[in-house]
Amino acid sequence: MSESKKTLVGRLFAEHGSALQAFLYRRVRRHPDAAELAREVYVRMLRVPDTAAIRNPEAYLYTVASNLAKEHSRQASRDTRVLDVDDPLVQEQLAELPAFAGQLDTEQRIRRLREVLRQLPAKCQAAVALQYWDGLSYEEIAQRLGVSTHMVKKYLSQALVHCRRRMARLG
Amino acid sequence: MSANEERVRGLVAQQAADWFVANRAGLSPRERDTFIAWLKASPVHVEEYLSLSVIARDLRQASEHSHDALDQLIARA
Repeated sequence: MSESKKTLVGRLFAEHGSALQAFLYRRVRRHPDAAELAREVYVRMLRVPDTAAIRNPEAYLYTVASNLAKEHSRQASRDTRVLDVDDPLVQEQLAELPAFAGQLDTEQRIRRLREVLRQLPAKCQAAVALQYWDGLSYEEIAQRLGVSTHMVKKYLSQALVHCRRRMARLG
Repeated sequence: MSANEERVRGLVAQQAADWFVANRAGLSPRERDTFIAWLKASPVHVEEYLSLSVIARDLRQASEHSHDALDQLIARA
């Protein structure tokens, strides 16, 4: 009555193969990884000592897949030596990062930033206002301030570093 | 943070700011490759760059006052 292990696993994969891949892809966000994990699920299912003891093979299949996906992302987050910025999973994680800015309410942050800006040399402050408020290009700012575009970039970079340093403790 | 770590952070912040400013003007394909390589080199680079984008987002509102005082600022410069 009970199917042989190979038949059962074979049937499960025939029926759920593509749904399983989609399930894994939603978790790992990389097609090659999802395919590899699906193969690993297959191998693990075959290794189950007694498939007859599994009451709900479908649910079991997805539990194995879910555990593998979790293991996979734990491993991926440990491996931070190389960052693939084209990787959708990385992009997703990056998109979540700037949320730390929400720790201070916007009004408070802007008030603080205004004070920090005032500590900068006049030309730096002017360059910041001309870019961020007026939206002028570097060439236009250069004309306005009577300096080279190279200097404009230096002022703006200096302003960013200064703001970053003075705002750091708030982040 | 040790003094050395602080020094490295400062350097990375400077690099991140230079890239941030350069990006607005547009990068050549070669600069873009260098920028991507820099981002990939360390998660700290990515973090710094993102921190700047958070600051830049607030800079418009924060610079409203300097804009009102612009003529004064330019005269002082």
